[in-house]
Formats: sequence, structure tokens, C-alpha cells
Amino acid sequence: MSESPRPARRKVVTDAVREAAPVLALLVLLALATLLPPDLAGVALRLESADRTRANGMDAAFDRLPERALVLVAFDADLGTYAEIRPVVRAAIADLQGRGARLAMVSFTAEGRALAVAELLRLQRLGGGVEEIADLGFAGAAEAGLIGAIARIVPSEAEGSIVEAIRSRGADLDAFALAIVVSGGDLSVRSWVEQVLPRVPDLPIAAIAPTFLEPELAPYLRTGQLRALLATLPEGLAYADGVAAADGGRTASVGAMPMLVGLLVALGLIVQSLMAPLVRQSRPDRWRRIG
Amino acid sequence: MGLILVAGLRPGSTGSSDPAVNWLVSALLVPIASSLFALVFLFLLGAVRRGLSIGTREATVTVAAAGVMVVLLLPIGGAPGAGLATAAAWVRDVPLAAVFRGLLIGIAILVSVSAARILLGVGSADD
Repeated sequence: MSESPRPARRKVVTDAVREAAPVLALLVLLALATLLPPDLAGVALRLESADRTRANGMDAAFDRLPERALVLVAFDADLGTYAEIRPVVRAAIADLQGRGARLAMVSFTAEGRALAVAELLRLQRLGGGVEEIADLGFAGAAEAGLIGAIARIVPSEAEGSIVEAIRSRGADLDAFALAIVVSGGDLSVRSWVEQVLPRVPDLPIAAIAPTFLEPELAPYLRTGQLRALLATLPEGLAYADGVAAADGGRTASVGAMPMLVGLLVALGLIVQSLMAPLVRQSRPDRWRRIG
Repeated sequence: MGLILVAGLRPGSTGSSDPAVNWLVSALLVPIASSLFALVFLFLLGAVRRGLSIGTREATVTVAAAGVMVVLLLPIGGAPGAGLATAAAWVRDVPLAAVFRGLLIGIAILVSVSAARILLGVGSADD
């Protein structure tokens, strides 16, 4: 007589639920972390960076800007890593707008353009009385587009007071007092240092990049080819916290909280997975039989 | 893709800067792609658990190194945070930078050798 399939199926379901339990717990934790109000989140998990060196470097780069400076935001983040730098990018844009800078946004990669459009529409929805960012659109072909933009960055159909100000200064990269590069995997700020700096040596470049680009970009910061660089989560938080403190908390970096929870959960899972074989080995046979 | 093509190529459209394209990108494309990338985190954790349950030395070393980097990059304050920041800076500036530069130098040498072989007309038959 064959065994009924029902208990076997129930066992499969139970095993699957047991297997999925850590992932489900992680999802619930992440969801709860996003729902926490900033004050409570500050009590539960203290987000802070001990090292403010690079955040101070970004502040210094912005402090050197003249009044009503034209700043180019080269938005070439990628969808895979943008979540890591999103709070810092938003804080930097808010910081520059708060200082009265006139911003123009351009992208040289398709993913960068998609994310730039999403950010521009978000800023339009927020309003807040700040001057609108000029959209210089999408110059395709990545590095080739970047080189083409050195001589002419303003598209013919673009309009607005910021666009006119750029045109009156030659409509090229020399028109800007600073280029802040939001970097990603497709087009790194390394391309800016290699291709743009030799052609436009007077253009100061600052960068916001995900952690994986840090080893590639750190030497450029040491040699002064980059004026400022924020390339890890602690550095970004140190800068975003400074901006939030300066403007009374309007640009609070709450977006980083789920990331910290995610890091802690990943760490817990790694430690648990590493320890599990050791625990099994050290467990006496009788306990193993019972368990 | 069809929707974006229609929005960007229809008569009167301004192409990639058209409001309809912008809306489609920000309301559909970016959230969908971001959700897919967010799933990578969960799949990665699942892969870590499975890799370690198999018990190979390579998987253990890789995951342990990843765990150390996660600890070093934790954004926490106070004295533990200062210690972590110092350790993270040393790891980035010494072993990580050494490996990264070694890779770049190796790639540059390989590219130069390949270019020289092509220019000199040296093929695999000459080896």
C-alpha cells in the first residue's frame, strides 16, 4: 500500500516555510525600519559616522563656490547601486540649492538618465520655492557623449533662465563653477578625470560614488584631481547629517536607515551561517539524535 | 519598450525629454528595475546560506571577507565607530588598494602585449 501524499506535501511546505523564515523576518524588519519616524529611529539605531574628513572636503568644495554659481550635476548613477548613494545625492542637491547655486542636470548613460528624470520629477513635485533645475537632457554614447559635451552641452531646444546663463558663458563645460558627478558602474568619474580634466583643466570636479568605486577614485582625491569625494555609506551619512543639521532637519537622511538594518541583518545571517557547522560539530551525538 | 518608443517617436514628441517619456520612465521603468535589483539582496543572502551549508573552504573565506567589510562599513558613532573607521581606512588604503592596482597594472600589461602581438603580426602559431 502506497503512502498518502498529503503528509509528505505538508512536510515540504513546513520545510519551505522554515527555510524562508529568515528572509520573511528580514522583509518585516526592513518594512518596520522604513516606517519608523526619524526621532524614534535615532533612538533604536544610531546612524553616525566617526570620520568627517571627506564630508568636510565636500563642504569646502561648496564653500568655494561664488554667489549664484552655475553647477553641473552629471547624473550617471546605475539602478543597481543608486540606492546606496540616494540619500547623499539628495542632500547634496538640497545643500547646493540652499546655497543659491544654479543647477543643471545632464546624463551620458541610459540608466543615469532614467534616474535623473525620476529625481527631477520628484523635485518638481516637492517644489519648496527653490529655483528649478535646468534639464540638459541625455547625451548618449557614454564617454563619447561626454567628450562631445565638453564643447557643447546645451541642447538647442533647452530653455529657461539657467540655460540662458549657460549659453551666455559659451554653452560649454567652462561655463560651470563646479561639476558634481553622480557616479555609477557604467560611467565612472574616472572618465571625467581622464577625458574632461585634460581638456577643461579649470573645472573643479566633485564626486558621489558607490562603495565599490572607492579604490578606483581615492587616488584622484589624493592628487587633487577630484576636489571632493563621498564614496562609502559612513562618509555619505556624515555629509547628509551635516546638511540636515544646517537646514534644521528638512533634508534628514532617513533614507539610510533601512540600509543600516539591511547591513545588520546580512551580518547576522552571515555569522549564523558561519557558526552553524561549528555548533553541529560540537553538539554531542545524543543531542544530535534528539534534535 | 513599445510604450516608450511610441511616447518618444510620436509626432510632436521632443524625444527623450518628452513629458510622456519622463513619466513612463519615472513611474514604471525606475520602480520596476529598482524592485528587481532589491531582490538581489535577498537572493544573495540565500546564496550565502546555501554556499556555507555546502561547506567549501572558498565559500567560507569569501563570505567571511564580505562579513568583515560589512562590519567595517557600518555607519555607527562613538568610540567603536572611530575604531571601525580607522580599520576601514587601513583596509582600503593598503590591501584593497594593492589588489586593485595590481589588477589594473596586470590588465595594462596584457593589453600592451596583445596590442604588440597584433601590430607585429605574431599569432598563436608563432608561440
